[in-house]
This record gives sequence, C-alpha cells and structure tokens, in this order.
Amino acid sequence: MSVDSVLIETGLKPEVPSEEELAAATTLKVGDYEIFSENLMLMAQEGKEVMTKMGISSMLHSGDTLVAIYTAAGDLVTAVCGTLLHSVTGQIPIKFILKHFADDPSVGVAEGDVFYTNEALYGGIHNPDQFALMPVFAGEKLICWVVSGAHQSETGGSEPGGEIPAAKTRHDEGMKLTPIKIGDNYRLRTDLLKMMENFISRAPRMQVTDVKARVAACDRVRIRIQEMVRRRGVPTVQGLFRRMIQETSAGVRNRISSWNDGTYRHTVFMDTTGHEDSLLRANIALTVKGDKVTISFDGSSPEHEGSYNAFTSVIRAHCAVNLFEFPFHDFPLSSGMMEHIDITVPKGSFLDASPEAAISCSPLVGGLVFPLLGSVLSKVMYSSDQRDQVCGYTSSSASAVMVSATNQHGVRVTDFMGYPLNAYGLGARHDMDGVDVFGFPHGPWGKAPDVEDIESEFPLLHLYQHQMRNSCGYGKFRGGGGATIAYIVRGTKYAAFTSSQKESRFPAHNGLFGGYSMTTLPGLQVRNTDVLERMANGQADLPTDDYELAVAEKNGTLGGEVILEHQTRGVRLLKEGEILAASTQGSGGYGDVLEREPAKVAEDLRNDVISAEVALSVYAVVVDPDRYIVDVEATERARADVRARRLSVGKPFAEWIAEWSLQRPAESALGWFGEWPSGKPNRDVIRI
Amino acid sequence: MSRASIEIDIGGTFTDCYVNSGTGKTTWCKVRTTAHDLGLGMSRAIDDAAERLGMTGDELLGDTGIVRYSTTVALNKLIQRSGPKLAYITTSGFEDTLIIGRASQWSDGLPFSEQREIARVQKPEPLIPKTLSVGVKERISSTGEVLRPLDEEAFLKQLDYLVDQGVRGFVVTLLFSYLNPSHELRIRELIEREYDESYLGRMPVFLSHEVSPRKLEYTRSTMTLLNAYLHQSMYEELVGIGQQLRSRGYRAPLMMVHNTGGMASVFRSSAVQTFSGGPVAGLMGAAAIGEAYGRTNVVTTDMGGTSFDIGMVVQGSTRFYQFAPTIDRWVVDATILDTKSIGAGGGSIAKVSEELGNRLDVGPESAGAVPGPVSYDQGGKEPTVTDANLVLGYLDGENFHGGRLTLNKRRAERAIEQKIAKPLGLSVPHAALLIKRIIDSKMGAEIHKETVLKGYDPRDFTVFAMGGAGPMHCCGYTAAANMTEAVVFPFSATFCAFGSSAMDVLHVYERSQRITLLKPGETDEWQQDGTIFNAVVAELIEQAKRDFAGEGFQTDGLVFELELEIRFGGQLNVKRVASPVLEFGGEDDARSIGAAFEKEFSEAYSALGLNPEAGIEVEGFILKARLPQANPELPVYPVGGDREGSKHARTGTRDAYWAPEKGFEPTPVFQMNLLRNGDRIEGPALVEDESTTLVLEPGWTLEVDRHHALVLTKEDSDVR
Repeated sequence: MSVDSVLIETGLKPEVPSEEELAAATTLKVGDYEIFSENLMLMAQEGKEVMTKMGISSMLHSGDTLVAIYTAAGDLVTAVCGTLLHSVTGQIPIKFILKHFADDPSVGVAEGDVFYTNEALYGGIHNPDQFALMPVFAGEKLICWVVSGAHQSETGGSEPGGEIPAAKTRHDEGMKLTPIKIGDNYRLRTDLLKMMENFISRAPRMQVTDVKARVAACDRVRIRIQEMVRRRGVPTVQGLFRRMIQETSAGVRNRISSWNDGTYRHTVFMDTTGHEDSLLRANIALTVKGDKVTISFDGSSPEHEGSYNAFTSVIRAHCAVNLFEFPFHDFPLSSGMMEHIDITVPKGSFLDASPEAAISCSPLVGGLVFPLLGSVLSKVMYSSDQRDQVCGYTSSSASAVMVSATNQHGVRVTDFMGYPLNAYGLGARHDMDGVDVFGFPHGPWGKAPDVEDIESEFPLLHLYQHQMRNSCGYGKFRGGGGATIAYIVRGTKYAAFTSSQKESRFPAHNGLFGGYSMTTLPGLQVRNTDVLERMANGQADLPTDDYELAVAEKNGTLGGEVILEHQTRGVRLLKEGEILAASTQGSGGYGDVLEREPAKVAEDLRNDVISAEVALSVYAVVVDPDRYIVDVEATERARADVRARRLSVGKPFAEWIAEWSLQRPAESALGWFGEWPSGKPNRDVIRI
Repeated sequence: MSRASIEIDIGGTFTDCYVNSGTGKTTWCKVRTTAHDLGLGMSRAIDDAAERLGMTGDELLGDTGIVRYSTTVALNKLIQRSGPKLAYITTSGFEDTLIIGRASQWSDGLPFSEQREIARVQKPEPLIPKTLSVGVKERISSTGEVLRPLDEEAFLKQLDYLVDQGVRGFVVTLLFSYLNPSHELRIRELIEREYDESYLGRMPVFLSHEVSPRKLEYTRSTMTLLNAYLHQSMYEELVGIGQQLRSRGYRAPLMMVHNTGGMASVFRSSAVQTFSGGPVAGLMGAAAIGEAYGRTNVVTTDMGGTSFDIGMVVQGSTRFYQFAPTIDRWVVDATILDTKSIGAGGGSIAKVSEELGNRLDVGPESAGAVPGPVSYDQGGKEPTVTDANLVLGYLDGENFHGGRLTLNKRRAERAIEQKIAKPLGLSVPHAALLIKRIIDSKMGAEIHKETVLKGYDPRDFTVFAMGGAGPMHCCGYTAAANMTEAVVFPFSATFCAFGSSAMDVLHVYERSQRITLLKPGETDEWQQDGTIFNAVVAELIEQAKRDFAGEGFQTDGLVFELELEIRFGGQLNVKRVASPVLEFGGEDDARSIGAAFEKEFSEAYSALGLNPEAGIEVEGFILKARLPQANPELPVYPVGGDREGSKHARTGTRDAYWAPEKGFEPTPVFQMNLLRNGDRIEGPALVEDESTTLVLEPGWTLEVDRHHALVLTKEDSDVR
C-alpha cells in the first residue's frame, strides 16, 4: 500500500507561498481584505446551506459537515463548519492530488473536474467521512480548491452503520476511495455513482443523494469564486487567500507569546479496544515556548487488534477542534494556525496505528483529545488573560447507536441516531456550571432530531428521552448532564443495532482542578420483553430512565431479560418489541465539591440533576427533600466532617506519590495497555 | 361612509403612522413609542397625522374604515421574561423536550461569532422551569394509533401538583397529537372540569395540535408555549388599544398585521403570528407598489439603528418563508415570510483587532439606543456607523432628525481617530469611509447570498431602501450586491406602516400529512389516489370558511392558495412549493406537482441534486385563505422637475468626503420634500428629509418619478 507518510506528517502546515502570492497579499487595498474575506465566508456558507438542504444523512443535521476553500497549493483559507475536524483534513487529499496526479496524463487536474475521497490514510478521519473536491480555475490557471464533506452513515462494511466496532482490519470496513476523479467537464460519471451504490447497497439512495449534495455545494462556491475573479482579477483573489492565512498565523503567534512558558500534562484512559476490555492510556504534554506550541502524545498505549485505533491525522484534526473552539475561537479558520503548532503522535501507538488497522471508529479514539487537550489548555488559560476560556470541554463518548432495518414504509434505512450523539454535556467552567445536553463536540452547532422525526422514518418507538440524573461530574461548578434514551423496535420484524462506544467501565474525563469525573454508562438491552403489551394495558410503572430499566426485570415492571453490557456493541439484532438503551454521559466538574454553594446543590436536586444521595454523600449538603431547603447548620457540620476526614488521611505529596507508584491495575485490565507502566509495546499485533 | 385608512407600526423606539385620507391625500409621521401605554403613542401619531391633513384625530378616526397595526411589543415582553407562570404537560419520558431544545439550543438566535465561543455558551433561561414540566402516561404512534391509554388518575394528581405550585396556564404538547389529538383534548376537559372559572378564574389551556398541527414536538411545543406566554398581556394590550380607538369614534375592528403576510382581527391573532409584523408589512408594501413601478423583482431593505432586514419579492409575489425561524432564543415552526435580519445598523460598532494584523470589523455588536453612537453624547465610547456618517459630512450634526437632536461631531472624530484611524495609519475621514464601505459590503453580500440561494440573479432585482438609515447606505449596499438600481420613497422612513395598507385579510392553515407522490425506485409509479390529499384540503378550506365567517366577513370572495412541503425520499429538509392544483384528480396532477417541485429545487440548489429515484414525498400542506383588499394607490404628481439638478430643491452645500484621493468636496444638499416629478440629480449629493438623509454617491443618478419616489441608478457596480 502506497501511503504518503511525509505528506500526512507535514500536510497541515501551510505551503511556502510563492513570490507572486506574497506580492499579491501586499497589494490589497486597505479595506479590501475585510470586505472580500467576509464575502468568501458567505460563499462557503451558501455552499453549506445547499449541501444541508439537499442531503439525506442525519449527520448533515447533526453537524458533521464542512464546506471550505483552499489555496491552489491546498492550504485552508476559510471554512464553514459543521465540524472543525474537517477544516484541516481537507488539505491532505488536495496536496496528494497535486503531488501525484496533477502531472499524470491519465488523471490530471482540469477545469470541471470533481474528485472524491473517503480514505483516512489520505489525511481523513475515517471512511464514513466523504469529501468532494473541485479545483477552481481562472482560464488556464488553478487558483484554488473547494471541498465539501459530510459523514455518511453507511460504508458497506461487514456490519451496518459505517463505524464497525467488530472490524479487525481495514478490510472489514467497506468502501475506501483514495482520491479519484468522479466527474469531468462539470458532469458526474454515472458508472462511478453506480459503483458507489453497489458498495453501499444497504443505503444506496442516501449515498447517491449525498454525493450529489456535496458536489452541488462545491460547484456553488466554485461559481461564486470565479465571479469574484472576473471582477477583481487573479492577483487580488490570490493575495486575499494568502492574507487570510497570514492574519491567522500572526494572531495565533501573538497569542501564544502571551502564555506562560512551560509543559502542561494530562493523562486519560480508554476502557476497550472495541473488541475486549482493556485499559489504554493516552498521554498529552503541551509545551509552550515563546511563540511555539508543541503537543506530544508520547507514552500512549500501543496499537491493538481491536477496532478502536486511529491515525495521526485523526489526532491532529481533533486537536484542531479544541484549538479553534477555545484559545483561538475568535480567529478566522485558516491553516495559519498550524504554522506555530507542532503535533507528534507516536507511531505504532493506538493513536497512530498501522495502515492495515481498522479505523472506522477512529473518532472514538480521537475523542480522547477533547478531555486531554481541554484539560491542558485550561491549565494554560487559567494563568493567562484568557481565563474565561477554561473549560474541560466534553467527555469523549456519546452513545453513537446505528440502526439498520427495513422501515415501516418498506424502505431499507441505515443511519446514526443523531439524538444520543448530540447529547454530550459540556464541562464546567471556572466560574459557572457546564451545559446540560450541550451538543456534539465534533460539531457543536448541529441539531438533535425530534422523536416524531425519527419515529416517522425508522421502525422505532422511544421509551424515554430526557436529561439523565447523576450523569454529570460534580464540583464547585458541575459539568453538564447527559441524556437517557431507550428505543423499542416497532414496525419491523428485526432491526440491527451497533454502537461504537467506550467509557462503560472507566471515564475518560477527569474533571478540572479537583472536579469529579462524570458517570460511566453501561449498555442496556431488554430481550423477549412485553413492553408493547404492557403499554397497551396502561401499566403505570413502565421504566422512565436507565436506572429503572436496569432493574425492570427484577422489579417486574417489564417481562423478559435485562442485559447489561459494555456500550461498545457489535451488531445486535433485536426483534419487534425489544429494547435497546442508548444513553450519553455528561461531562466533568470543576473545583472542590465542598465549595459548591449549598443552594445550588438544592437546586440541582429539585431539577432532578442529582439524587438526594449525591447531595448528601458527595456534596455534604443536607436538604429537605420535600421543600428543597438547605439545612445550613447541618450542612456546615457535614462539610466540616468531610474536611476532617480528608485531613486525617492526608499525607505529604512525595509520600503519597511513592505509595501510588507502587499501585498497579489488575492484570486483566492491562491486556493491550503495553508494558506497565511505560506503555511500550509488549505483544504482537496480528492482522490477516 | 368611512374611507380613510390608518396604518400603525409600533417599534421599540418609534411609532410610525401612515394615513390615506381616501380623498387622494396621504401623509405619514413618526412619534416616540410610549412603552408604558402603547395606545398613547398611537393616539399621538394619529393626531399628528390628522393635523397634517388639516383635521383632528377624532375627525380622522370617525372617517376611518380600517386601522391596521403591527408591533414588536410581543418580542419585548418575551425578552423581559414578564409572562405568566405556566406548566408544560407532555408525554411521560419526554419532559425535558423544551429545556433540551434539540441539544444545541444555546446557539439558537445567536450570531455565529458568539456561537464559536464555546467556553461561554449557556442555554437560555427556560420560560417554564423543569419543576413545572410533567409527563403524562400516554402514547400515540407515528400513525396516530393509541399505544398507551391516557392514565387519567395519574394525570389528575399531576394537575393538583401544578396548581399547588401556582401555575396560571397550561401548555400541552403530546407526541403525535397532530395525528391524533384525543389525549390532548381529554386533558383539557379534565383541567376544565377540575378547575372551572370559579377557581381563581379559568386557567387557559393551550393544546399544541390546535396552535400548530405540525410534526416535530420541539417546535410544536415552542409555538404553543410562546402563544401561551404572551396571550394574556397581548390580549390586555389590544383590548386597551381597541377601546381607546372606539372612544375616539372608530367603529370598525382593529386589524393586526401577521408575519404570514396577511392580517386578521386582533381576536383571531395569536402571539407568534405578530412577530416581525413590521418587516413583513414592508415586504407586502413593496410587492403591492412594485408593480406600479414595473418592477416585480424587488429586494426590500430596512436599515435601522441595530439591524438590517432583507426581504424578497419575486415576480410580484412574496412566497419565501423563513427556514427555522427563531423568535428571541426559540426556534419555531411558523409560516413567517422570509425577512432576513443581520446585525448592521447606524449603531454598529467599528473596531480594529490588533491580534489579527489590524483588521477592521464593523458590527454585529451595536451601541444600541443607549448609549448609542459616540456623537449622541450619551456615554457611548465606541465609534459607530452613524459617527462615520457624521464625520464624512453625510449627516448634518446640527439638524439631525429634523432638528430634534444635535450630534457631537468633534467627539465622533476623536473616537474614530483614536480607535480606528491611528491603529490603521489613516486619516480620520479615510477611516470613516472604510467603516461605511465595510458595513455596506456586509449588507450587500448578504443581499447577494439571499438572492442567489433562492435561485435568482441579483442583477434582475431593484432595491427598495427603507428605514432611517436605508437611504443613507443604499447606494453602497446596492452596488456591493452587484445591483444597479434602488428606489427611495418619500415615506421610506415609515414604509413598514405604509406596507400594512397593502395587506389582505389572510389566514394560513397548516397540517403535516405524508403522501408518497412518486414511489422510490425506477418504476415511474406516481400516486393516483387523491382521497387523503383532497380530504386534507377540504378540511382546511372548511376551517377557513368558519373562521372568516366568525370574523364577520363574507366567505364568497375567499381565494385559496395551496402550498406543499415536498422532498425527495429520505431527505432531511423539505422544499415549499406552490401547488399547481387545489384538488388532486389523479396521476397527471401528481406529475405536475412533481415537476413544480423539481423546477424549484434545481433553481434553488442544483439540478445535480435531482433524485427522483429516491421517490417524491409530500410532507405538509399549507393553505392560505385570502380575502383580497384594494391595493393602496400612491398619489400622482404633475411634471415640473428640473433635469439639470433640481435647483428649486437645493438648500445649500456641505463638505463631504467621497474618496481619499480627493478629500472633502463641496457637495450639494437638497430638501427631499421640495423635489418634483422629473427632477434629475447626479451624485455626489445629499438629499435631506426630517427623518433620513439620502446619500447619493458619485456615479449614481437620482430621478424623481410621478409618485415623488427617488429612483437611483448606476450603470455598473464594481464594489463586490
């Protein structure tokens, strides 16, 4: 397999600009830059609107999308997202095409060409993410590229849904297109669309419609750019592109310079390989030195035989999400940011696995970056002028349930359930709580679908869908809570579910500055149940959340068998009437729980954010459970007791670390950890 | 017989009034809004207008056949959170629908720059707290089948709890109630049985299937909630205004302008229908008079202090609706005519970002009415667009708003010098010109985007410039949108009030109903059975007739228009299409509806996206029932103009700054109300009126037409 690893390593950095571009950037008149850069963003916005309104995949709604403009050499100029992941992933396929195909007479790059790719080895995230790429010409001159991308919920893999938890190698994951030309002279090639339909035969309608939506979006932006070129001339437009990159670059450099030098570290753990339980460690060390930042993931666990591996491009793209959403949220989205940031991901780790590895679930792995970078950036921000940007962001796991079935209208459907994906809580901030059921961290602006929308298109009935009690991390300021959701199969004989998940046993978000981690969530199924009959009979005490569902068999509120399992689930075939819960956890807290205002604890209790047990045992707040009034004296006593207990077990840091260093997880938890404690590879990875 | 008509548009700052005496005379005026008693400002406006017509307000009202009224008051009440304590009653297991709000509710109604600052986002304060949301044990399926019967006993306990908590009204949204409303109806029966009028007065019950019989429970909930939240205060306000008018001799019903593009009596108006009433009235006015000008493709633009509103009239028709309309922070599912609003106005703040290499940005932050621009001398520190216009000499600081305000030019110059000119290394007027160019460009780019996204070429459109700041910036933003013609009316500053005179009595009825028009696959199998289609339409028509009769109108003259929400199979979004048929007769009608859909779809997005193999599905019906009203007639003035510069209207000369290379240039100033039919002026020039100033930029020509409208033209645009 010919992977251009040099390109992947270096492709996110802006290319060295030509003399012509640099000269053009200096000739822009005062005010032109402001006006034309705004126009470029509106063009991308127009393209995104076209794609969203034309497409089918639920991820268009949920925000896993991008329309962006790149220089002729492939550097990001501006983007409208969707997800900030793709703002950087679009670069490498363009650079690949230019490097390998532009001068190849059997391919070439010409006006009216349409390229397409979904291969993560070429700089992407995973193969559900499909991109259309169009070169834009002014006469004979290539002046820029337009890329539109969106997640597709089916790839023709060994299991439905695009993300294949059971995959062992890349060969289980369905269609993977290296950058190919699917159209020329502004016409799409029918033979290649048919080929895609053939690959994606579980959802051919969705595939073809969404390919067209991506291409139409690119074409719309292409038309607008060519209009601008006609009016303004090539030098102005090229100068504008260069200036936009320069502006972000200068802004990022200045801001980094204002931070305190130092190395900021954090570690999180993943609890599964996708196939089996195992602790996997992800380390981060962010070093600020002058006007440069380096981010290293050294010390992370080695790759494994499961499906939860990633490539370096995945990790870098997830870094871009945190960077553009927090310290650089007010800068234009351009490749200028990466000029001052170096990211190293150790080869052979599960963060940068071999090309043969299964990576369709890589966002689950990349998602570890959210709490990792969220934590270290918060440490940097806390001691800077940007303290208001302190936020641990989100957990790294939502219940990404995929459903495949023949629906009640007789049409074969396969798609993500967008609601659980959008139900992450936002972590606590330094001065306020997080946000309950905040959104989808990869693309926070997306929307969760309505129950009535899902039930009209899928053979499903929701048993419940609401905020989940005790799902947030506690602290002086609490994290946002998640959502508890359960589906009943109805309107079809069978429906297949998969879910690519983690954190059923070990949370990946640790909270900030003493805040608690959020809860872990098990996977729940109820087989051979009689829920539909019980509903029809008007049973009053049907389960209304995961807590009640988990004990439904024991309590006799449902017939059948309750199964608790890890949320990582290969395909599960459920009969009509059976139940699958797909809940999403909250996010981490900030600061010491004993510093939370007791009145806020009472309010959380009143709003069902926490239970009475948490109020007392975690916050040490005594609340009247009927009137939600704090017993101030009893609370002071309870908190004093906790503080006294803490003091009684407290010890000097060196002493504690010496003891702690002797601790070692159970052998059964270290299957794929690597050597303890170094994390170095200690077993062979066999893929066939 | 009553012949006059009075149009009132009550905004946050000004109450606008436009009167047609019915004898060929028209007049208009602006007075300060009296927030504590809106009727007072309205009365003053009527008195002021009557005086201009040489009569008293009472005489005018006694001779008036119709008073039409639009307001932004409902929005203000919402922002102030001053509504009653309400309860939310929904299906058990889904109690958090309103507070979750499709997850990223924090982003609804926020500009994108604020949405990007994730570390600071918060969800809006809910209008109903979680503790007053209850889940009722019941369930309806996606086909309307009862899956779980309503547990009445359990509900009655929940009801007692809510009443104990002191709620004063109920918002009821059960899943799929738009398909089967039996449980919602029963809940109302139970509430009314348990708590009749003898108990603290009847607590109103709002059922979602009645307010908005549409699919998607979140927006059905917000629609029901907003109506419930504003019902009482709106009712009291409107009754008060109605009584005031009647006490002064007005005998006909007070009509309320709706954002659907029509109007209805105040008692047939729900709160959600009244949002954006003013801008929509402006759009309707543009459609009505556009034809008189032979311009059926119009972009309406209304620039005020904080926002810039855009609307489109295409071939004389206004049938674009807002996609995911948002009222304050709440997304609703209402048929609201599409008027796009962006943060750009006289109060928009200009600032330079040192971090971004001295990038100059203008808006969307606004200095608002308070503190307002620096030159208002009310404590504003940040330079604004109005300050730039003053520095450039476009505004007369000594005679602002007809002499009612004086602007502090020195202070504006200092602010621009310190915050813009120095960091950029420019002269003060050059910096001010950049501020104007940037805001004009933003507005122009937005017009361009909105036009092309609907499938049209902006060059085929004329801009109608309205609002206090519209005439001042229209040359700039028209050119920036790649357009070459703009029209400023003598009553531009009160155009929205004028617009309501062009509105028909209109009710809009909506219903979600899925019908497969073309089966998926390559079978070319079209729907032949019109039973469901025709039953839905017949039911909506019957409902319309009942409502119009209830308002006291004859139903014989009703005109019905049907729009359908259609999509290719599986698509997330629907496209609204004018149905070529009101009654479905068979396969040919299915094909003609399908063809209309494909045509609009390819015009708006791309022919590349046509995908009939996925099937074509109707998802919703929208029936408009219209009782046409006479179109407003504009007075016609005799020819008497001066093709060589309108000397009779010239009031002086002022130094104004048009280009850095030329510096300040003596610029002729004209008085707008002295212009005559046939006058022709070449830019640069300034044309003043008591409530606005028209800035005629170099390269533009102004011609006064027979209605005394000012038609501005430019041969070609080169800004964008």
